[in-house]
This record gives sequence, structure tokens and C-alpha cells, in this order.
Amino acid sequence: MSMKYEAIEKIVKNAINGDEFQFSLFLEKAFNALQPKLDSLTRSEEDSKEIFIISMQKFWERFIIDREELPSNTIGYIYIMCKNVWLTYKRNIWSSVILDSTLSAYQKKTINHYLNPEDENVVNTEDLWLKYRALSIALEEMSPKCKMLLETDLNPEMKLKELQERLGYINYQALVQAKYNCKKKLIQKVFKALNNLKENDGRYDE
Amino acid sequence: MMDDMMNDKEKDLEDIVRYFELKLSETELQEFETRLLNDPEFLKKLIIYKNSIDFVEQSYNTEEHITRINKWKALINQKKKNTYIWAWSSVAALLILFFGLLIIKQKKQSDFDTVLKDSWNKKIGLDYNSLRGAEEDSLSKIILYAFNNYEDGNYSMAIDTLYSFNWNSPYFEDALLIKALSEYKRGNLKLSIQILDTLARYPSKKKAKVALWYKGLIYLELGDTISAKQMLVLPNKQNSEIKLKK
Repeated sequence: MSMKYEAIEKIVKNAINGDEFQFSLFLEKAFNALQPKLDSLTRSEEDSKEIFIISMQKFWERFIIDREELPSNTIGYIYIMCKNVWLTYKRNIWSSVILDSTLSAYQKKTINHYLNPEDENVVNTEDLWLKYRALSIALEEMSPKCKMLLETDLNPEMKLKELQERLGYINYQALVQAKYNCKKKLIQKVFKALNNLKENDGRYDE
Repeated sequence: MMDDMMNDKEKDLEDIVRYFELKLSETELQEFETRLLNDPEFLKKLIIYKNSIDFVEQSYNTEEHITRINKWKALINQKKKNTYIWAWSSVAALLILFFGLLIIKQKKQSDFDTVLKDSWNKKIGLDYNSLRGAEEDSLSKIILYAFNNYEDGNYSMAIDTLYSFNWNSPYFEDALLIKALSEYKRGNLKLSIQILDTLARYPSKKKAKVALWYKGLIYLELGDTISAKQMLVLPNKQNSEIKLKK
């Protein structure tokens, strides 16, 4: 796919400013260009589509929302992202580790839940409770501004655009970026809290 | 010693974050995977981090995000690719042709989007007004509560409400339907289709047609008209609406 860096940069800039139309065309074109390589990687058209969409979600988060600097060979970079997704999500390298006798039944259950997230039967209530507790601990550690930004998803009455003026962001995009970074921070805090709870049998060691 | 341990922990977290941000090079990825195979503690951390991502995403996913992903899926599922739209040609005639075709395509797409939206708005099989006077702790109240949450866009809440639902109750199929639609709205396409398939095959067949109707609409929204046509009749010259196949 011969697209100049400047052209892609312009499309990304437009998307940052809220015009997603050209980005959609770019996405379609990028998929057409990468599909032969993806198909030979996955040997399945469906899997190729799936890993491409997951990669583009991450591309959107990193280069549109968080405005990371665009890599010089963007299409090549998207392919590497797809390859990452393929190895991460599809090859299930961890499945061989499940048999490891050093893992407890609980750990195996957790791993099984991760490998088969759609199998709801393996989600036990204790695990769910720990996640809720970890989320609540993490939220307590977030700034009031972040909490307010995150809660906009839970409360449809509170619109992001209304918040923009209240919280002093120069534009809607800056607000979306701030919200994204709050979410990233929240994930890390949930991870630390969850790790802590699991290491201490459900007690939180401050 | 303590400092070294802290640094190791921070480094592990940094590596895991980069892994899920899809930032690893091929060499780094190979090293990372080797470590996963040889270090169960590191693997545990990775799984807990993935659980944290999933849980936060599930709790804070936006409607805008889900809509965008569905549009992207529809785009790459299109069978006919308009490869010419990327011809950044300086030839004026080509540009006129390009924009002309684009407008027609958008108009057609926009008309179809309206019909599709109308079909969703019919809320077939989702009339729960008769349940409004139900007793506070009755099963019908739970269904109504879940449905109201679904209507308000609180999809996780709708699913959580039905989590403890008595699956032997007369409202079993209603619960499945609301769960399937909520899962779809949350972006769990595969699970949603699986639940609708179960509903379509359920022995009493009370919601079988409704399940096929929504399955068809979901396929349409994803741009997979071939699959949708197995359940639905699409608008044509004689018919301006989407209908369930007889």
C-alpha cells in the first residue's frame, strides 16, 4: 500500500479533530493491503479480521486519543501490532502452562477464565467480589477529576461535552484524552489492588 | 535489596503494560513469551493484569466506542471493495466521479441505516409495559428492572441483574433475550449470537422468532448481509422495511 506518511498523518489529524470519515476509508484500505499477509499468518479470514480490528482499536487509542507520534511506516507498524495480537490472543501460549502442577486449583480456574472469558460458569463469586473490591479501592485512589470523567460512562445524563467547560479543558478532544489516561491509570491501580488482595487471601494490605 | 525488588516489580508491570499496548518488537515478544513459559509468578501477574483490563473495560465501555468498532467491522466485511476511493488523483474528472459515487453510496447507506434503526426501534419482543405493576420482589419485576437498565444503556447492570435470575421461571426466555442484546451492546458479539441461537432453539419456541429477528439485525449492523438474509428479507422495490423471513 503506497500511502505517503504525510497523507496518513493528515487523516490521523482529522480523526483527532473529530472527522472520522477518512479514517474509516484508511482502515478499509489498510485491511485490503494487509489481508494477504494476515491470512497467511492466521490461515483464517475470520481471525485476520478479528486481529485487525483489535489492533485498530489499540491504534485508535494510542495515535488518535493519546496522540502518540505516528510511526514512519504506519502500515508496517499496524502489521506488527496485528502480529502481537495474534501471538497474544490467538496462539494461547499459556495453555501449555495450565498443566503446570505448581498451580493451585484456584489459579487454574483463574487462568481458565482468562483463556475462556465467554465461559461464565467458571467465574466464581469470590473472584467477582475481589474484582469489585479492587475496583473500589482503585477508584478511591483516583483524583476527583478522574472519577468524574470516568463516571460519565455510567451516567448517561452527564455528557462529556458539558464536562469540558466545567473541568476547564480547551476542547472535547483534550477531555477525551484525559479520560483515556484516567482509564489507563485505573487499570494499573485495579491490577495493583487485585494483586494485593489475591496475595493476602482477600485482605487488602496497605 | 528492597529497592531491587521494587524495581523488578515495576519493570514487570512496565513490560506487561507494553505487551497489552502491542508495543513489543518481534524479538521482545519472543523473549516475553519464553518468560511466560518459565516463570509462573510472572504469568499470574499477566493474567491478573488482563483481568483488570477486562473488568475496567466492561465497567467503563462507551456506546461511542462500541458503535465505532461495529462500523469498522461492517467496513471490512463488505464484499465489494471500493478500491478506487484511495486514488488521490489530480485528474479532475476522476475526482468528480469519485465524489459522485461516494455521495450515492453514502445516500444509499444512510437510507439503509434509517431502515435498520427503525427496525431496532420497533423493539419486537420487548414489550414489558404489562409488568409495570408487578410486586416488588417478583421475577417479573427483575425482568422489568433488567429491561429498564438495557433501555438506559446500563448493559452491565442489566446482565448483573439477571445473573441471579431463576432460570426455571416462566420468564427464562425474556431473561435470555435481554442478556443477549445487552451482551451485543457491550461488544460481546460471539456470546450474544450464541445466546440468541439457544433462544431460537428453545423447546417452547416462545421467543424463537424474536431471537432470529435480532440475530439478523445484528448481522446487518455488522455489514454481513449474506448471514442476515438467512433470517431476514431486506428492503427492495416492493418492500421498504426489513422483515423476518417466513
